[in-house]
Order: sequence, then C-alpha cells, then structure tokens
Amino acid sequence: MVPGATDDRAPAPDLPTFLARIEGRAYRMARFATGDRDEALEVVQDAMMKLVQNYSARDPSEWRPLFLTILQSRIRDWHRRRSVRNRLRDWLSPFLDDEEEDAMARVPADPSWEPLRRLEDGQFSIRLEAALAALPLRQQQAFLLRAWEGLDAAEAAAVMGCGVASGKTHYARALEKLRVGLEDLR
Amino acid sequence: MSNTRDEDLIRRAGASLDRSVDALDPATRAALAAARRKALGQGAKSAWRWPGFAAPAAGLAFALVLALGALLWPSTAPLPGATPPALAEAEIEVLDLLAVQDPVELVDEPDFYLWLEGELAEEGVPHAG
Repeated sequence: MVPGATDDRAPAPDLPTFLARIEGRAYRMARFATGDRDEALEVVQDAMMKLVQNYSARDPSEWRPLFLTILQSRIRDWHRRRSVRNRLRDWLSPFLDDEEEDAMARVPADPSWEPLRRLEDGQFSIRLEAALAALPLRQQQAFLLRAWEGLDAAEAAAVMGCGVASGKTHYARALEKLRVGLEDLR
Repeated sequence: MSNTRDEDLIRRAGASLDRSVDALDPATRAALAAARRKALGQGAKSAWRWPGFAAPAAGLAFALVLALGALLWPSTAPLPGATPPALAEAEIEVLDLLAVQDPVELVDEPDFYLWLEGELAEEGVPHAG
C-alpha cells in the first residue's frame, strides 16, 4: 500500500454503495483535470453511467479498476475536445472579438476548498491544488492514481492506457515537480 | 531522490486530498448524489433486455400460431365430391331478390308481375320467367 492511500478501497457490497464511496474522489480527480465544477460533474456522471450500463454484473472487486479506467478515459476525451476547441478558437481569433481573456480567469473558484482553507494544513493544500492543476494531464493522472488511489505501477498504467515504463516516467516527473513546488512547505 | 522525503510528500498529499473530499460543499455533494441516482436509475431501466435470440424466436412462434390456425380453422368450402346441402324455398326466393337487377320498386309490387303474366298469356307470349 502506498503511503497516503486511504482504506476505503475494499470491494463494496453493491453498486450504489461503491458509487457513493468513490464519487467524491472521482469528482476531485475530474475537477483537477478540467478546472471546472460542472465539467467535472458531467465527467463523473458519464463514468458512472458507463459503469452501470456495461459492468454492473461484474464482480465487485473489478468495479474500482474499471471505474477508474472509464473515468480517466473520459477525462482524456474531455481534454482532446478542449484542445480541438482551443485550436479552433485560435484559428478563428482574428475574426472574433479581440478582447484578451486571461486563461486563469476562466477557471472558477472551487467553493469546496473554502472550508479546507481554514484547516491547519490549509497552506499545503492550496499549494498542492495549484501544483497538481499545473501538471500535464498524464503526470496528474499518474500521481493521483498512484499516490492517492494507491495503485501500483502496472495498475496505474493499465488505468491510464499506457505502458508501465511510460506510466512510471509520468509519475516520477510529477513527483519531481511537486517536490520542487512544495519544497518550502516541507 | 530521497524515498523518505517522497513518502512524506505522498502521505501529506493523500491526507490533503482526502480532506478535500470530506470538505466538499453540500451543493456538489447533492449534484454527485443526483448523478449517481441517474446512473443507477438508467441502469435499472436497461437492466432487463431482450436476449439476442428473442426476436427470431418470437417471429417463429407467431408463424407457427398462424399455420396452426389455418390448419385447424373449420372450413366452409365443401369437400371434394360432397353434395351441397339443399336450400329451402324461402332461401331461394331471398337469393333471387338479392340477385335481381331491376329497380327496387318493381320488386316491391308483385301484383304488377301477376298482371303482366296474365297479359302475356292472353297474347300467347310464352312465359319468360
């Protein structure tokens, strides 16, 4: 078990219990990846629906890796669509309103973090959130899956849909960036 | 790379992320619960499906019922070689009336036919009926 992993990963007795257990974590992962509350909720709901539709008859021990795989796949799809939209926007920008928009201004504040900021470790959490949000998607996925979800290298690579070596590289780079970014808080 | 320092970072990060889940605001929790209910409800609706062989099997069963019905339905057609039942006099008259092409008012006045028959007999015209 990777340090930091919590112990609510035992197979759930039924699908509603499983989804209720994992939905908050899934939302946080989707929120880091999308930077938007509504987009994150939609990604999580899509993943839930896909799991219920296609895999509800599977053994409960399979639900978690299946759900994480679906969720990460949905997140990657979301990023691809956003990349296409951004390219299209760049291409059309000479014909559109030339008012500059700060990219960070498009990221809404997450009210879910407000109570957290009042906690003793609030400063670390704020910095961690910023550092995670700034990671490239694959590094972000690798870190969350391994450090938070407690998957090993092979499991994380399978969920991410990449090779084990590639997954390890993403994870190592994520750790390095977080180590540097949070150095003064340690 | 210091494994101990990385482990400390990972532990703190995991604890911080866990707290962020615990600290989700009520609106987000409600939205997640609604998404879960929707997913589970949609799953319940589509949980029972027609098996793949159901449509061909239903078609075959319907065709068999039709074939049995056609075989077992009592036929009104006479069997080959059978004598058709004799019609009663009244039935023949009804059939004649139904088959007549003359205007209906003539049919309604049988006295006219009796008079015409008498006239034709007096003139020596053979009976046409």
